[in-house]
Amino acid sequence: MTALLVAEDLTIDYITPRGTVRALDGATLTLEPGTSLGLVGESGSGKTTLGMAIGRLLPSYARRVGGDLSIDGRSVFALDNDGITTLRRDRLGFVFQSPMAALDPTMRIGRQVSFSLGDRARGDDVFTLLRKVGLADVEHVARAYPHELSGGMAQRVVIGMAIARRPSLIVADEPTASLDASIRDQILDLLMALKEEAGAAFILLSHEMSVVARYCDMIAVMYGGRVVEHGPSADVLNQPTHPYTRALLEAAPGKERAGQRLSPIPGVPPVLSGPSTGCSFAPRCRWAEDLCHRTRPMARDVAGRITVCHRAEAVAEACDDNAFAEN
Amino acid sequence: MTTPIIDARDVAVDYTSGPPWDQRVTNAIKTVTISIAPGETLGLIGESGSGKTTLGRLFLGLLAPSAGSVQFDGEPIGPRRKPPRGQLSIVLQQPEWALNPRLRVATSVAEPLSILGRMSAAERLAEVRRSLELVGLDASFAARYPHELSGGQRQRVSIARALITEPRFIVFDEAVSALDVSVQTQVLNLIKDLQSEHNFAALFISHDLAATRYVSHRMAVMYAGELMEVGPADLFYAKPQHPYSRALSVSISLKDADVFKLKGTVADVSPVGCPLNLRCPWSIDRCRADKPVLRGLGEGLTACHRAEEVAAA
Amino acid sequence: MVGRRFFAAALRTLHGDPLMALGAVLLIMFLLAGALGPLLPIGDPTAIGVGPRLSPPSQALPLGTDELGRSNLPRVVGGILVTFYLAGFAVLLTAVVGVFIGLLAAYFGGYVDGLVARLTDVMYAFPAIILGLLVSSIIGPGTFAVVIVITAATLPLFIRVVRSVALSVAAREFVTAAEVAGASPLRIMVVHLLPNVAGAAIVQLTYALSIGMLIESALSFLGLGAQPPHPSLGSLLQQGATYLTIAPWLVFPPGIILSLAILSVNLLGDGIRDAIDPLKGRSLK
Repeated sequence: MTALLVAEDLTIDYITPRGTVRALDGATLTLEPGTSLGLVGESGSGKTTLGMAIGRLLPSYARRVGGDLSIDGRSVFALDNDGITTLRRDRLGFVFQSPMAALDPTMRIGRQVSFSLGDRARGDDVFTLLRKVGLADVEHVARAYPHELSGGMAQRVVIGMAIARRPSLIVADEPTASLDASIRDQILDLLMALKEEAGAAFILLSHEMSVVARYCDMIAVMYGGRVVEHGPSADVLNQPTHPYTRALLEAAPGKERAGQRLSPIPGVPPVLSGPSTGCSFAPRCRWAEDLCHRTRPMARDVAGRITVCHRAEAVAEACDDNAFAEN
Repeated sequence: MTTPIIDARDVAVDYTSGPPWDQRVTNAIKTVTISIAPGETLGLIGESGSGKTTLGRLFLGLLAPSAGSVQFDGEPIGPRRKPPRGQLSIVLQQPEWALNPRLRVATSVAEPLSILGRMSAAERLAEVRRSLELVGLDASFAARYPHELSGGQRQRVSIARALITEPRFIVFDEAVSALDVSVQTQVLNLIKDLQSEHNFAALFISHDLAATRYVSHRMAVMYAGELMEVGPADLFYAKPQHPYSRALSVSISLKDADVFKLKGTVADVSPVGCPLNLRCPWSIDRCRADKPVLRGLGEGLTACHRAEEVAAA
Repeated sequence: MVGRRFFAAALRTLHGDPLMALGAVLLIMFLLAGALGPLLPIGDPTAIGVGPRLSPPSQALPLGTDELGRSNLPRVVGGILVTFYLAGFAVLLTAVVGVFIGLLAAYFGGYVDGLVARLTDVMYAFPAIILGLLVSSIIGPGTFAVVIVITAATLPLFIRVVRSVALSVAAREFVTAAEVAGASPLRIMVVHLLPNVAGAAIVQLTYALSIGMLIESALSFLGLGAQPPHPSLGSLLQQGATYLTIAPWLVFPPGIILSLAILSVNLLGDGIRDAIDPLKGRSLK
C-alpha cells in the first residue's frame, strides 16, 4: 500500500532578524491512508511546523533547507500556486486551535460553509453539513456570525468546513485546546466519526498523551525538530523505547499515586539554530552516554516501532516494571 | 480552632451588564460557603462559567459580593475595605502577559515591596535576588526583560513576585495551564515545595483535575456558580463522590468514560433542581424537582442525591 | 544603554523599510532647514524691495520675489519653520493632555469613560475649518487661534487611540497582579499603562502632526493663521495663488514643500506603526 503522506528528513529553518531557528531537523514520518496518527510534542518540538508543512502553510520566513514532504507521491514543495491551492482544497482539511481565528468574523456562517462546499453546493447542502457536525437549529446557525456562536459550536462549524469536500487527510492542531473539558470528548468523538465515514487519514497534534491514546492508532513523538518515536500508540505508551517518551509519561500528573512525587524532565527543550550535534535530548537524558552526545542517532526498528535513539533497547527493557497502561 | 485565613459565608456575585435601559444580570456565583485554613492549599476545579475565577477575585478583595461575606483572617474584606497590603498575592495564567513587557524582571518582582514603601532600593534588590533563587532562577535573571524568558521562566518570575512580601495567602489562577507538560510539573513541584517551606495558604484554580489534586490538600468542585463537592485530595485520587467530579476525571481514567460521560454543553444549566440534571447520565426525576444541598458523606461533602451509588460505581 | 538599543533597533527598521527611511530623511531635512534657516545667509524674509517685484528665479534670488519685492527663498524657509514648529508645538501639547485623558478614561471606566467618549465624539465630528473660523472670530486670527484649532482637531485622535490601547493593557495580567499588591491607580497608570501605550501614542503623534500642518496651512491660506509679515507655508500658498498666472514660481515651492512635509510625516508614521505591529511577515506562498 503506498503511503498517503511521506515526510523524508524534512529540514526547515525560520530566518528571523534575530537569527535563524531550526524548526525541523530532519523529520521523517509516513502515514498510510485511513489511519489516525497522534503527533505529540511540546512547544519547540516542531510538531506545529510539521503539521503546517503538510499543507505548505508555513510563514514567509520559513525556508526548506533539506528533505521533502509528499502527498500521494507528489512533493508539496514542488507544486505551483494552483497546485497547492487545489491540494489544500480537495485533499486536505485543517482544523486549528482557535475556531474564532479560523472563521471570517464579517461573514455569516452559512456563506462561509457554502464556500468550503464549492461551486456545486446547493442551499440545503449547508444545512446538511451543519447537522452532520451535530448542530441543532441549523437555520439559525447559518444566519449567525461567528462571534454569536460558542466556542464548541464554532469548532463544529470549522470541522464541517474541513470535511466538506471529503478530504483524504484531516489535520487537527490542538482542536480542543480552547474548549471546556466536558465538550472536548464530544468534539473529538465527532472528528473521529467523520473521519471514519470519509475514510480519511487523520493527524491529531496534541500535547496530551491520554487524548492521543484514546483516539489514535499510531503515535509519533517529536523532540528537537525530529520524530523520535513512531509506532502503534498502545505499544509506545505501554513500553516506550525513547527516553523522552518515557520521561514525558512519567512527568505528567494523572497516573501517580496519592502522595507520590512526580519527576519532571530536568532542563529545558533545545532551541536549535542548525543541525544538532549528537542527540538533541542527550543533555536531559538519564540513559545518555558519550556516543549520544557525539553522534546523531538514526531511525531504527525497535520492538515493532521506529525509534531515534542509540539506547532504545535499554529503555525498552527498563519499562517492564512500570505500568503506563490505562488503569 | 484557628481562624481560617479565608472564610466565605453564603457568598453570591451578580454582574449587571448592558445599557441602563436593558440591564442583564448574570449570576457568576449563586451561593458558596467555604473556608481555607492557614497553610492549606485548596484546589478549585471547574469549567468556564463555573465561577471559579470570580471566587478567586472575591477572596482577594477585588470584587464585592452581592450577598454574604468574605473574611480575611477574621476581618471582612472587599473593594472598599482592602486587606492589608502585602498579605495576599496572585499568580495568573498567561505567562505572556504576567509581567509588564517594558519593565525588567527585577522591577516587576520588586513592585509589591515598592508599593509597601518600607525598604531602600538596595534592600529591595537583595530581596529580589533572594526571591528569584527560591524559584530556581539565578540572579542574572533580574536584569532581563520578559521577552527574553521562556513561558516556564516567566511563571517562575511571577511566583517570585508573589512571594516577595511573604504573603499569607496566594491565589494561583490557572497558573500552569498554559505551560508544556514537563514545565508544568516543574512548576507544580515548586509550588508544593515553597508552600511547605513558607507555609502560605493557597487557592489553586484550574480546570485540570490531575494537576490540581497533585498540589492541593483539599479540593472543591464548582459548577454554574455552586459547589458540587468538597473533600480531601486523597478522595480525588481514589473515587470522588459526585458524578460531575467523576466526569472530569474521565480524561485520566478510561474506565469511567462511558458511565459518567456528560451530555450537552456548559450552557445547558437547569434553573430548577440540580443544575446538572440536563447533562448528567445519573439524573433521575428527583434531581429535576429537588435541589441537592452539600451534605457530608464519608471524607467529604457532596451535593448529589445519588452520591452513595456514585461512590460505589 | 536604553538609548543605544533603541538606535540600533531604529536603524534596523529603517533599513528594512525604505519608504519609512525616506520619510525620516525628508523630515530631518525639513526640521534642520527650519531650525537653521534664520541663521543661513539666504536673506531677510521681511525685507521689502530687495529685488524687482514679482521677478522670476535668478542667481541672486533663487526663488524669485513676491509682490512686495521680498525674496521668496528666505520666506519659504521661514515658512517651514512656522508651519512645522507651530503645528509641532500644538500637537505635543495635545498629546500630553490626550494621553492623560485617555488613560483616565480607560482605567476608571464607567461614567468617566462614558463622558470622555461622548465629548470625544463631538470634537471628532466638528470640522476643523469651521472651528477655525469660529475661534478666530472670537479671539482674533493669529498663532494662538491656530494652536487652539489644532488642539481641538487632534485631541480626540489621541484620546481614542490611547483609551483603546489602555483598555486592552488594563485587562492584562500584570495589571491585576499590581492591583492585588495594592498599587494605587496613579501608579498603575504611570508605571504600567503609560509605557505600553507609548508606541501607539507616538504613531498618532506623527499623524496628528500632518493634520496639524494641514490645518495651519489651511487657516493661514484663509488669512486666519500666521499674520504678515511672517509667512507660513499656507499664507505663502495664498499669496502665490493670487499671482498664479503671472508669477507661477511663487506658488510651487511652498506647495511642494508642504506636500512633501506631510508625506514624510505620514510615511514615518506608517513605518512606526508597521514596526510595532506584531503581525508582519505572514503570507500564504
